[in-house]
Amino acid sequence: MRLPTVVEWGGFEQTLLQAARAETAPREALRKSAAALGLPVIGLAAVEMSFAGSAAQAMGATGALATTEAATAALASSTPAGATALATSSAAAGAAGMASQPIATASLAFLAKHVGAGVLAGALFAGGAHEASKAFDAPTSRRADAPGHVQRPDARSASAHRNLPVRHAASPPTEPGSSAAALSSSEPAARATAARAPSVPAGVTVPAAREGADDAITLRTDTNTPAANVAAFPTEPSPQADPNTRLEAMPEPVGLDLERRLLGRARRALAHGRPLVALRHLGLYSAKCPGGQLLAEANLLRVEALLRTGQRDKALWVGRQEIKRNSTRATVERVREMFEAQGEPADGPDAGVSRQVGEKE
Amino acid sequence: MPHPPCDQPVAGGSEAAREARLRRMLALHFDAVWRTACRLGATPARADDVAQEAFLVASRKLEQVDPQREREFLMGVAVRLTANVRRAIAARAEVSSGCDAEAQIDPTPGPDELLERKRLREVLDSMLRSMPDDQRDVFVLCEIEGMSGPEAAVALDMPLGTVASRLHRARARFHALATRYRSRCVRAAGDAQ
Repeated sequence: MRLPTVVEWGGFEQTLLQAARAETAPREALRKSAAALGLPVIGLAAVEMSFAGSAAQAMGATGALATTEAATAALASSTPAGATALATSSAAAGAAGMASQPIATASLAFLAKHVGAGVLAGALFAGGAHEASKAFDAPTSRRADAPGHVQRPDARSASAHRNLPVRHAASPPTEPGSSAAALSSSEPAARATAARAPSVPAGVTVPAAREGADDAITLRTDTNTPAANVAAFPTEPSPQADPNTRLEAMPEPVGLDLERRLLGRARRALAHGRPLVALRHLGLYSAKCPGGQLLAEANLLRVEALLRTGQRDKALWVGRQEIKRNSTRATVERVREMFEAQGEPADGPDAGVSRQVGEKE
Repeated sequence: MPHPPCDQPVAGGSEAAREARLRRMLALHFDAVWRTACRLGATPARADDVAQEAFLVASRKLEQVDPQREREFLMGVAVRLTANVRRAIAARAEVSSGCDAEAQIDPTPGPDELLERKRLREVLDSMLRSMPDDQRDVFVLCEIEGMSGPEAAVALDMPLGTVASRLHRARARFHALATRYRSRCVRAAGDAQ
């Protein structure tokens, strides 16, 4: 049985698949899993380092530089300067490739065990360590020329963007097809992605907005940032496309802002008579803001949306749950009004609950 | 349900070697496992649990896992765990799953907004939700995670021929869904003008 390994998808399908391939897991989830596995929390840095080594191993790069440098980084990692050295060294460890992997791993074990003590010692001897890290400047500059080396803006982004095709923020925008080379230091799926990335069809004008996405991706530190370079993905040209819109440059709302935004969308959709769209936004709200501060409002909007789509039983269930959760007179009244507005019996959602609320008040 | 970490040393290997292997597995495959759980229908929070559980299973069976087949092993566990999650969701009849998945897609935003990758993933997820589970599993492993047919067959523990036929049907379905969605977008854009 022979499988067709590569399918030439159209631009839109390819864009969808690229977006999915680019998604990365939250670093918090990785930390929790590492802790559940009994790996030291501090070992996350080692995970990142071993990833760099493994990625380069997959690349087949060669070199003998990383062995001593991983140990150097382990020693220097107790200071901020050392952290920078760690990030650089992890990339260089990658460049060393397969031959140095076992030794680098041993160095990582050393780091995981002793870096905790190193942090304390580093606080006391920061000045000395800083001088020590200076002494390694020359090897660092040599490492920058090593194959597979990627420039890391700082230690934080080194851990947050380990899947990103890292580019220097000041580098000029590249051609759409060139992301294949940038992806070469990522994991196999990303490499497959790059290999399969089609070129932009002739006659298709790439919106200028996507040219700015490169820098935005480089600079963002959101742990949910997908890894791929969207600028390289061919998409359908749009009459609605606004070339001045820099979607990637907009900071994603978090916390209460995100809740307000999602609920605002749901409310607007309801106001425009599109309850299914409202339900979609409410579903997003549930997924992104579990236990959010505006949960009561979300549930009430959901009741209304469900009623408008004719899902009375679900609306009833959600209304009752909300009344149980937040049994205030205002909630009860509002749910009741919603049912009445849809021609449902007024005592539907809050049967037996109004009395309790009345007694409580 | 998180399990306590396994402290038993691997036969023939030291505890340090075991830790190093687990770290390497985490670094190489955690994203892919988490992503697969998401694409197969788990919410991000549940995907965290699925990924963690998959690695705990791998930790417990580390000595049985072929080092050359770690990805297949983890993906197979993730697919099965996510199937359990899907069944639990269906049993609980969550409110958010009450509507037709495809009908929830809002076709009006233009392709410029489609550049928002989250939205693209939502569109893709809605398409994946409309696929039968067996086709969806194969499609996610092969088309999104870049696994070959034989690798997917190992991960899903099924014959290669079954993988091939399911993948063929899944691709056809995906293409049809994407075409339909795109035409709806174009129509909506035309109506807006």
